[in-house]
Amino acid sequence: MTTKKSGGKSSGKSSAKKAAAKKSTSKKSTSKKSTSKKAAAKKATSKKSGSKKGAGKAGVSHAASGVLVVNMIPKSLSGEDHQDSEPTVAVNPANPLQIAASAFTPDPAGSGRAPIYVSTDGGNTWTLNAIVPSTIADRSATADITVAFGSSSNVLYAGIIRFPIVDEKTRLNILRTKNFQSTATMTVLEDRTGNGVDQPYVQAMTVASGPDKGKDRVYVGDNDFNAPDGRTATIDQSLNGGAAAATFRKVRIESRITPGQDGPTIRPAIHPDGTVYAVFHAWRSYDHATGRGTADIVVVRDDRGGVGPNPFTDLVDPNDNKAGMRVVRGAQFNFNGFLGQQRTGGDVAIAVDPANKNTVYMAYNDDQPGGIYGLHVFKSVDAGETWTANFRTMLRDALNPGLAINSAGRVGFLYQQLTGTSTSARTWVTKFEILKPTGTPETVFELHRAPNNRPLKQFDPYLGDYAHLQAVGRDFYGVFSGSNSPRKENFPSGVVYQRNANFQNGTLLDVDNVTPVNPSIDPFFFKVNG
Amino acid sequence: MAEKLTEAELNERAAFVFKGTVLKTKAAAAAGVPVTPRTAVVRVDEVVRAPALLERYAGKEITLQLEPGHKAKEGTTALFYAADLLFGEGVSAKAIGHTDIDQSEARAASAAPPAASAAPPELQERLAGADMIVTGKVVSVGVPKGAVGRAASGGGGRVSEHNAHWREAVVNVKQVDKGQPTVKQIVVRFPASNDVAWANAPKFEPGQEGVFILKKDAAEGSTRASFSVTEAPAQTYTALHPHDFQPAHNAEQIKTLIRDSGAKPTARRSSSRRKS
Repeated sequence: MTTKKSGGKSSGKSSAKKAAAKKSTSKKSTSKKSTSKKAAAKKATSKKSGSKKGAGKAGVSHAASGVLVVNMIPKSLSGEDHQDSEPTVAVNPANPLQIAASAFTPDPAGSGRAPIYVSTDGGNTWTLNAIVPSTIADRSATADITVAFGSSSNVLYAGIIRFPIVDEKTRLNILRTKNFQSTATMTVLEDRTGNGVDQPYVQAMTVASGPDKGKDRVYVGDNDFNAPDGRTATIDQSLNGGAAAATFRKVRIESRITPGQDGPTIRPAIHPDGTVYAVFHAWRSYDHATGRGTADIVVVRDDRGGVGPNPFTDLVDPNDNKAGMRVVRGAQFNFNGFLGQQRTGGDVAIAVDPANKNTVYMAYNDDQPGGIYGLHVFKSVDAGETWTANFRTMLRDALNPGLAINSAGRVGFLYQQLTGTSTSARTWVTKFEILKPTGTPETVFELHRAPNNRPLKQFDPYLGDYAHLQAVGRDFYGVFSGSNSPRKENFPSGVVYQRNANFQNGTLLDVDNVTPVNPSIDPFFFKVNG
Repeated sequence: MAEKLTEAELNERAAFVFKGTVLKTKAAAAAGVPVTPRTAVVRVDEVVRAPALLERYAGKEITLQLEPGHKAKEGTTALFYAADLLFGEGVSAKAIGHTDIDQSEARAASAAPPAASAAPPELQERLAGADMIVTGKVVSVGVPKGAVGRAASGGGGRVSEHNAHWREAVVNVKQVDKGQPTVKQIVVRFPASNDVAWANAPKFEPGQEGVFILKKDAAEGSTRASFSVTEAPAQTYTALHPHDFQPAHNAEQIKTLIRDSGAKPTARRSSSRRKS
């Protein structure tokens, strides 16, 4: 196992040069699909990693080889101290220089629309563009937001919980923009409230061939309280999301009895041939008084992308002949639980190998004996029929898993782990690993570390109920949230700040580059060259 | 041709109003901002109205997309009304209107003393839109009867991280500033949840004293409580915005704002107010 760290070393002009040199030699043979735009994106990463800005200015760079970490708060918002947690990222596969991202960031201008983060240089710099229709009296933000691009359409989709929320009934919006740099408000494709909908998680792909060639298929995993019989796990799918009047079909993917509902985490993953998997937290018992319950971790699959009368029923559990493989049964969770300042309740993640649709990886959390919050990674090589349990050794007290597989079949794994035992010494560590075929980490990038108790949380969730990872070609792109305290030791793999920061005395500075700003939680983009 | 907006419309739609000097036309203040024949680099000379994060932007340059037909010359000053703000390395925005200021005016304006600090517009909006404004004291807080038994997970039986975890505060009214003048006690429903959806709403505790700026309970009829801590008073209101509770030491300021603004008290003085 190789652990990539450069923290504590001198600010890395030399390491960055080495990184650039390594790129110039080892990256010549990329995948056949590599485009000039992708090459430009790689070049952009290399250039930024190699740059060095002095402490006290907007950024510090001391990059480990092959990784770029960027604090996403723009320089013009240097004075902000909001808790920008729960991020997602969407790289445009047709042009990896174009990247959208989201977090619980309110619109600084209070426009009545929430912002997305926009980068057009491969993640090196970011702009806030308020185009999401969601507002509440005291701020323009969302209660949940995820983003995804079509694979070749250049269209960005978003799933949000839209403010205002009336009487707890959370309002689902599925949105679209054909130009994520435009200041025009995103188009509402689906607007549903009823009894409420929770935690929309969007993924999209553009059909590459066949009669539907060019159409965007959009899948939004959500927990829809309008579903009958408490089978609330739902995929809202559109087989032509780019159409002028795109429509969504509610596919109820829970086939078994629940205690009134499923958990909020429903995550789809798409293979380029149209096969779609989804994993969800299928609740089997729940105690309203304590928040404790049990869940099956269920994987569903549709071999035709949801076309046909019974979508997501292609994977059947032989033990009860119902749709949806119960990969894990009776996983324990506590919906009212906390790990440090971050709430818990049961995360899941899933990824499918773009080169082999039968190879699938799945991650989930559960409560282990001794108060341990376990994070597991399982693997299947037969399209979800059977699984290798704990393919990667279980992590203790870790959450927010992200999984992605690059074009070379390498598995990327993102997580945030609370380390240490005494309350004062507990530290959040965010890591990205590339796993060997055996499941052991081959390469580990420690991206971030910060004390659990600084800064104090402004609201739940502290870091977010999810982070995100995506692979485009050979490269991995991810996002996580964490303390923005500008200290080198917090960024062992290096970092670039856009906002004003003084790394010599660990102080954030306002736009005047003088007035100190309180530390808070910021989103961090990262890219790892695969 | 873009519509010509009235001053009221400009003030309504503009997120950033400032006096500025055009430094360069057909240019941008920061890298990455597309330059067009209508973009100009404008120095912010004086912030008139701005979001909090731009309050210290005087002296900085921004990129403005000028209105169609605005032939700005370098060196000229104007009062700019800007919307569609983009925050990147610098700030860029679309000008939706402007008023030319000649140099003498600009000098006079810059020499003028700053305007007296006003209450936040949002507070004034809350005051104007309130159904009831009272000064009082929280005497108890409890779980609505309808929610007892599922209090840990929230109301409605649904379990979501966004559940509000409703609570009800019983408030003894000392004084009615707006609304029904004879009320002695009211119930204020508020979310105890610290979730992103509700965290900014006021959280009440027994003994808390101040001004309550209230709306009629939107959920009345569904989760409207029959209160479990004391017998149910007749009226239930909500406090969901951070400005909806003002501590007692702000009471006089609130009364002044009510008196001076359009949010004039609709109620006559109550007997309790006379006593106070």
